[in-house]
Amino acid sequence: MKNILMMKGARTLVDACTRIKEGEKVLIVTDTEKVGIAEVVAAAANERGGEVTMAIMVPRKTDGEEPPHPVAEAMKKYDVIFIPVMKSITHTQAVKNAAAAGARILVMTHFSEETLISGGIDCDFEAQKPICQGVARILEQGKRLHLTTQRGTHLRANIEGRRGNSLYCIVEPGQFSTVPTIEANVSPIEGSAEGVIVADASVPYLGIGVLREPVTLQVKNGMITSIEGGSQAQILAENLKSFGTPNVYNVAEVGIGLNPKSRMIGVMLEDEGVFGSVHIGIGSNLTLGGNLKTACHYDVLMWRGTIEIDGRLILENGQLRI
Amino acid sequence: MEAFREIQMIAGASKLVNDCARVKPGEKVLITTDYEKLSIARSLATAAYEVGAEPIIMIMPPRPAHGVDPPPGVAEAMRVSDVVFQPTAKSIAHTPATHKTKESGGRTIVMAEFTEGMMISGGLEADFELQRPLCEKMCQLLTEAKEARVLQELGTDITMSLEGRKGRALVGLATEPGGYSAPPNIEASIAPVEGTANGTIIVNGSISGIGLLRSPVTIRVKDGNAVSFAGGEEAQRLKQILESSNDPLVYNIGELGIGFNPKAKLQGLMLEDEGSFGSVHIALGSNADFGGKTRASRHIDNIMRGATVILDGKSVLDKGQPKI
Repeated sequence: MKNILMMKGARTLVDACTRIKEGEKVLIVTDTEKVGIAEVVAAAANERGGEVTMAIMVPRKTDGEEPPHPVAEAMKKYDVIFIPVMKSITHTQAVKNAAAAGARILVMTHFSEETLISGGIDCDFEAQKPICQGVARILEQGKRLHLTTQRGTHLRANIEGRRGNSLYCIVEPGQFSTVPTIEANVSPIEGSAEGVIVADASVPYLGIGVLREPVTLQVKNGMITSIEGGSQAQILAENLKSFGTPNVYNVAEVGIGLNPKSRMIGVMLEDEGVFGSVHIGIGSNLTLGGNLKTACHYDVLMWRGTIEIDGRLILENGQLRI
Repeated sequence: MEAFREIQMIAGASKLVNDCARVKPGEKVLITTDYEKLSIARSLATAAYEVGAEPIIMIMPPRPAHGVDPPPGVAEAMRVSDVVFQPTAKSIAHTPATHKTKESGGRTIVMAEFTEGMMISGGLEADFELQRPLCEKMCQLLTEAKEARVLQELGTDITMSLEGRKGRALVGLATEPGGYSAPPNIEASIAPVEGTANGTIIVNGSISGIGLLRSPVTIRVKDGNAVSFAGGEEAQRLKQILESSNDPLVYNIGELGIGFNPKAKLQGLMLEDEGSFGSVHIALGSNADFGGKTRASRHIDNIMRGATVILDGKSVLDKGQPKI
């Protein structure tokens, strides 16, 4: 019965986010875990006159694994692609190729039914777009980033020459966006980050979700050198250790949430958008403009960040100052 | 109740996956379906996953008619898959997409108009490998024959030239690269030489698009074409279907086939009916895909029970019993 509640969100996806037109070829790539969500999106796309194909695959074993070859080939032939999946295929060659072929792609990783019913999805994406682009531009032009929070985060990083990414849930041909997060982010120069990250909001991976107690990560030469806190910190620490490769400790991203409707619920694409929250990406940064591809990409989130770029205050205790 | 049907359907799905397509671990198994046949697609995916293959279900809107190519993305996916199952409401068997699948070595199992019932019992219960030699032998006899005559007690008596035409054996198996089959149908068939069929067909089984017949339909044939239709309401419907196609080629006597599946029963479902053991079908319309020269807008099978088939004077099927 949740389908009834999800339809409104699905309409936002086909209208505001992808602007599906009559007769367009629409592909919904999903896995066996997310078919319910895929069906609702298919119904909404069908209603707008799209010719809808749904491809259902077995969930990938890990986030970042390529979809099966037949799905990847199919993805090159569609105008619009929605990807509601359990395991992320965002950072794959298949998505890259589909974008290169001109598709408008919306990524819906770890999506829950709740995400489609209310929260970030209720946002006026068009209205947030210029704000998001503005923050991204400042990041792109910046050199030195300084992040602090009242809970004890203080992190410095070099972002000189790095791309400022703006994700605002609206895609043009050849673009992909996540949804419903609205965020501006940047990937620091590898090896440059120094300081302490105190995540007090969420780690929306590995079943951790909303944090009961803070996770404290020490950072040296761009790498996380220790992870401390309670049992939730331990899950993250053990998982990273299990990859057996130092690059998973790379500080990959500093992102600022800019969706006034998003709530912190332990769902990645919902949490990262929470307005004024800051997330630090760990691991791969290749698709964000960095040079490092490794076994994973996780994010740790904190409430109410304060960010200075080259001494200029742009975010103060979760409030935008631009 | 639906879920319980799926428990039963898994037997048929396993047969299709293990015997008919011989799916191997690690193979990419694409199930192209439309919104009408999802439960069948799901059971196939379950069976494929169970043997360690990588199943992918692609669901498209039903094609507007049989023989319409799937969307380009689905066609691309078909081309790069090891095995393609096609449980669809509208057939995509005779499309460029399926042709390309064959060319690139994919194994195709056509399942147009499949029903949940067909997954549970009937023709799929056959031992396809066991029936193969008989079917292939009949195919060889059809290839070698110059003339075929079909007789039946109700009054069927038709002759046609097979000279120079090659028979085909559809054995329900697609185990070799490029293989193509339509289980549960097992049949040996051939495209008669256009313009040569003369006589009368009295159809007493079923007709594609109409189903099981309540009363026989009499078709008179002259110089390779059906020229008149007589009988009850069903004869009228056949006439209408043919007329509405607006295509003179649909009257062509396009195929002579003999079924070899001992588990298939005449029931108004084409892949069961054509394959039912000892039945004979004479189709109207297209035959370009299997050695004929006619590419019509329709292919309509007329299925008879209890018929006798004589090849160059020698009986190979006697009142539904093979004599080979």
